[in-house]
Amino acid sequence: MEQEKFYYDNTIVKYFAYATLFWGVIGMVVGLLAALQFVFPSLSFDLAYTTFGRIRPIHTNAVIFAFVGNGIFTGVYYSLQRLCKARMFNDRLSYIHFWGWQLIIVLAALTFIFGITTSKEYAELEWPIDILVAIIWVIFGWNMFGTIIKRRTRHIYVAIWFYIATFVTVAVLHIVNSIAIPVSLLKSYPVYAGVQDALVQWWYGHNAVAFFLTTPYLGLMYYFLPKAANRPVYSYRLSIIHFWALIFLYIWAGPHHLLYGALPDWAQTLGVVFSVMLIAPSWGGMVNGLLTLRGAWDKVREDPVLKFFVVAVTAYGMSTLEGPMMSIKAINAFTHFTDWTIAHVHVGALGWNGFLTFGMLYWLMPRLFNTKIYSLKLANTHFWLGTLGIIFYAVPLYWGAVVQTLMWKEFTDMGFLKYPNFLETVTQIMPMYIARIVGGTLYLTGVVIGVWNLYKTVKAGQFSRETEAIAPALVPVTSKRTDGESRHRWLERKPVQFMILSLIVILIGGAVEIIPMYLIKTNIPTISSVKPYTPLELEGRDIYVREGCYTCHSQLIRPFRSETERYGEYSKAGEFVYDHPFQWGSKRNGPDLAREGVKTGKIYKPDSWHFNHMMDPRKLNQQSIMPTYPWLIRNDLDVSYIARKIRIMQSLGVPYEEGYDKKANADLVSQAQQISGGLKTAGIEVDADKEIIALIAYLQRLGTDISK
Amino acid sequence: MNLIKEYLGSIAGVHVFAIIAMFIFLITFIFMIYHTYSYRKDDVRTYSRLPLEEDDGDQN
Repeated sequence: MEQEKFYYDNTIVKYFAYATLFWGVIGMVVGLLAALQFVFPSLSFDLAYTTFGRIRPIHTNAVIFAFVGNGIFTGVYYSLQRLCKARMFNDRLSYIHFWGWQLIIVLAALTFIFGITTSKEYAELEWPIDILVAIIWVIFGWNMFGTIIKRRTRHIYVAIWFYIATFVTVAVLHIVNSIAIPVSLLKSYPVYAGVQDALVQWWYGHNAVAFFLTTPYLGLMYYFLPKAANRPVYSYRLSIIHFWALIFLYIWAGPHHLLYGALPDWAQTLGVVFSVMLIAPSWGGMVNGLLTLRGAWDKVREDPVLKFFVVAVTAYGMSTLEGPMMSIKAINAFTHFTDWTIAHVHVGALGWNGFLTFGMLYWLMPRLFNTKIYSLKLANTHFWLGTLGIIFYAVPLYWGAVVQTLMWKEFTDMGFLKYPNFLETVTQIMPMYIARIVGGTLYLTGVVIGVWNLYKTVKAGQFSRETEAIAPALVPVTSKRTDGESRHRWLERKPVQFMILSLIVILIGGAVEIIPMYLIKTNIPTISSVKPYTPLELEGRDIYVREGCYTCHSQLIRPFRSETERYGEYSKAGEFVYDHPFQWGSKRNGPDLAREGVKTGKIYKPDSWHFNHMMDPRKLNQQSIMPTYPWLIRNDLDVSYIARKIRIMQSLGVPYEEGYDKKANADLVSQAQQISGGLKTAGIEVDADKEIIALIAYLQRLGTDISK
Repeated sequence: MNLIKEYLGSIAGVHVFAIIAMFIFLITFIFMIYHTYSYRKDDVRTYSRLPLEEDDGDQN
């Protein structure tokens, strides 16, 4: 058979590897700053740009899409070429993908700093950047499929199946969750509202974890772990079952982020059942990874690459057991809104993604640069600092979560909340936040050592821009099934059909959960007293979104006595029907605000309190960890889009009266003057056209509809 | 859209579809296990060795 000579492109792999390291350090430094702000609130620097609400999305997006994202592409561009025995389909597409992705990251960081956000977690990007993401993602897919189609091997190795599922699912998730109507170039409202918005968002959010942080990395595991151990994967059969079971089950599990929320019971139950079932394929994958090292465990003692891989796969196993456990309603009642979730995701991000990335880079960079790792000792130091860092990060947060949740739920003998002041439960776990900083610093120190080690490796070596390879051309066979060829075997050589089947598999779960939510009225019972926001409240809500208040304050009271005693009546689905986007949040660093405005409520505060609290929370309570928001008092409220905002809301079904867009501004001014006048009687001089007035209007509206 | 809305909304116990979906999964899962174990041993060995096939100048 005629042999063909061709060349693998190593430069694109090198580019993505450098970007992985660069953004990894940036993302983790921002994470460390966020952790420090819990203990030293002054590290917000009294600046809008550096408040927790704005840097938290920078941290999460930088780690997920910049660090892990570039890590995925590093591994995919290296392994895909070699598994297909073909150069990438088109070099130009490779480099458009690379620079396009980096541009998206820079735009993301800039927009988040300036408070330009949709407030949907891990999907905070505004619509123009969303479109750019879609374009660049399609370019990546195009290049990947082009390569698979021109491959010189018949069978498509299982790692590539995971890459295909990643491509197709992320595309679906991103598009469905990002559908919005633009108000301006940098502001939009999602077409979904309230419960529906929450369901779509967490269908997305959960599956971003599944199909961005998990499936592509499983693909990398199935390629790089056998390479590093120099033996094939333990069971190829198990990897096939792992693949189909995982992609089918994952897509259903989203509602477990909304348990005890205002979501219909049937959707919650589906989320729980499928989450628990997920243990099976996840552990199948973990066992398959670890058993690949059978007979090679002696190597693990010496080879830092294998050390990183073993801890990564173990962390994968831990978080995929913990996740389903946290999805059980009784356990979720205990862990949700606490630091348990933060610890859980960091075991996954630092352990599974971080360690697999560094294991891969320690294996890859010496090969790209034709040398050996500069220092095995430094690599081992990195490994131990990282491992200790994960433990010191996660254990204190688990501890803190248990303490805090017990304090939230404790009653006195007389039947009153033992700790009615939320802040008490925060100051109690402050030592755990300090310990978390130690853990994060250890991990980051390890990363910096790793970057230095890889830099010295690069300096010592000679880069091969291309690697020469020889393989026979693939003899075309019929596109139909051959005699004796099973359907799946046929599918394993047909990438496009394979993609379509993966798409169908992932669409079933999403469709069953999301479509009934739109079509069946009884899912969201209407409440006649729930009315649209006034124009001033709507503007205030946009400021609430801009400042990322949802990163610390939930707006969802669960039907537990401990919550209704603390915050008031539990939240109903019908209360959120005009909320574009929903603001339920996922973590309580401060109290829930769902009933903030209820005058007879448990947590009501007058306008003057809100004004002073935004100016400086520590003047009202010395131990508060909330940032200061002095710019809200200085900034004029931008009302130039109010008419358009009303029209968009009308088009989304919010029942403002016909022609209200023309009257909205007058109503806004009148309500603002009323609040400003009220503040004046309390001794506070502030103009009615300042942002703080709108925010107060919004906060005082929260939860009031059903108490009218 | 309204037609679909009315149609779906009028089905009594529409949530039974979730149970049907679960059965679809179970049947697919059982089929996949059956199919996977029907592979020829030699083929499985060849496939699983695909990452180890290439020789691109391993140094370490």
